[in-house]
Amino acid sequence: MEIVQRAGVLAMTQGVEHDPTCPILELKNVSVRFNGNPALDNISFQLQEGERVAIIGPNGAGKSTLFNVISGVLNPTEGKINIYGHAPGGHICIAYVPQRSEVDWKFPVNVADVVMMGRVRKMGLFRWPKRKDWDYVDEALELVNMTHLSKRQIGELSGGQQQRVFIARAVAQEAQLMLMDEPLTGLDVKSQEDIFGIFKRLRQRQVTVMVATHDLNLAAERFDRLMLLNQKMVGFGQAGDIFTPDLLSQAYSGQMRLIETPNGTMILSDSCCGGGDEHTHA
Amino acid sequence: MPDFLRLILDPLGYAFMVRGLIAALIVGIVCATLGTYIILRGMALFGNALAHAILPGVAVGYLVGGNSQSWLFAGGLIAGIITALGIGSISRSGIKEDTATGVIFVSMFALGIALISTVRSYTVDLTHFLFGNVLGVSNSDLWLISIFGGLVILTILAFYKEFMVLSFDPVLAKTLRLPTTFLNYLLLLLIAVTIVLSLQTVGIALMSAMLVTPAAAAYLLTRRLPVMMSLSAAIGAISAIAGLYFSFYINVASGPAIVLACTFFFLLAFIFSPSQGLIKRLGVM
Repeated sequence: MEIVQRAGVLAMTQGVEHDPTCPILELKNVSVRFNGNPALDNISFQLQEGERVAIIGPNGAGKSTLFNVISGVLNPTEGKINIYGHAPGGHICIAYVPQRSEVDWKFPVNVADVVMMGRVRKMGLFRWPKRKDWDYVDEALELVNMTHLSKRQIGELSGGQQQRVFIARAVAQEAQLMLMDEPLTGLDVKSQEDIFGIFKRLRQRQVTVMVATHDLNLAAERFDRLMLLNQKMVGFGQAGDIFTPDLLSQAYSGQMRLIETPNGTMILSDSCCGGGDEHTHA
Repeated sequence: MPDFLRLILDPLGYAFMVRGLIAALIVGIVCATLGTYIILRGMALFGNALAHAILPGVAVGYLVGGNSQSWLFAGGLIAGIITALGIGSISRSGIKEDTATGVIFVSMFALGIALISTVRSYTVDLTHFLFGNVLGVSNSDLWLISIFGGLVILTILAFYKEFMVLSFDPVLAKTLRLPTTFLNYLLLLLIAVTIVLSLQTVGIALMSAMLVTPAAAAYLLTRRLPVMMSLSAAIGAISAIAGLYFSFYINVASGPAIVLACTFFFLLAFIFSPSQGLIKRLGVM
């Protein structure tokens, strides 16, 4: 496996060829177990090009594991994943945008350096950035409105700016599927709106975006479809179909309370990272 | 001739001093350049452990070939590679890396001393292995040091951007389908080679200072990787030369003198760094 990978790097810089008749992402009965303990249980779904999907669910629901198998960092215990008709391992069109807490912000790189990292594979071994690579970096920075900060050390940026740098890196990578882990967490409303503005521009480029989030309000209002995950796929559809007392209590069983009131069912939930969320379902 | 010029030129009248200076210069640059990745990836302890773990290899080379440097070099290199790969694979098995490192490091070191102690009157040679003997460098040693040092620097430059991605964001390296396992082992191999070629200059016990201290000083002075790498190499080079001159005039052992010169530059950076120095942080200026 490793030898194949190495030979692959030397031979080509483009990753596997896409079959455009296949969906951008398709999971068939995917399960992941760690030492026998299930992290994901029999997950199947398909995504369309350009779709924007929010993944919600309690802590430990398997959101990160799902991202890991989709990006090919982790092999599923069972089941199949196809990206444009091929297993993820050969693709370089999948970008993972890390949670801000996972990044070493004191690493000696500036904004443009980080975005250029998205080009490393396309440049190929033993090569330095060419004009074309700088054009991609400039364009990616422009798309996220960070051109004026391109020489800034990454640790000196605000939270929203830091998030935008990593989205720009995914853009420079020419990713067609972006997996984002809590990109909205801890950002003020203005910064969140900036991110949604970027999502709009990504959609124009037919980029598919999957976002793990704890913010159920934003998930309901700003995404095409919602995936409610708790090891199993509890539900996948539009907000109206997902935010039902039945499905929510299945997903959040221990972490949520349903209260009957004269105005309808009140759902109280508290999740770690997005702060308390409260929804009324009439 | 002005006095200070004579201070600089006088030692160059001795061939052993010239060879020692060249060797120390190469070692200073190679260690400090590679050291950039070692501190960015938090591998300082690993470097220290690996340095100690090459001793049994050096010992076998010593038992077989006496003080012939090529035997010591070959023995150390083989032991270094085996240990680097050993620690790499043990830590992949689920035992924590620092535990794996701790176990292997002391066992190998003990084995090395045990082997060397079978030779009568071994203490002088053991001292050289532990603390270096740069003034004993011969012409053929200098060739070995130059060739392997050159290879290490060329490899670092050739894989510069891949090593940067791997150090900053291993998950990105994987999603870009870079050969991460190969790159990780390559870095371990580079560390092993660097340690062995530095053996004569600073010795096993002082090695980790050469790997870590110049890079740590550079880290305090800049926020760009290429600048950090160049600064680190420059600090390593200056420390090597300054240390050797001190050792010549004040008559202290050369290895410790070089390491203390590195420490001096680190302290300067620690106190005076314009962005992160002590003075800046305390708001004195």
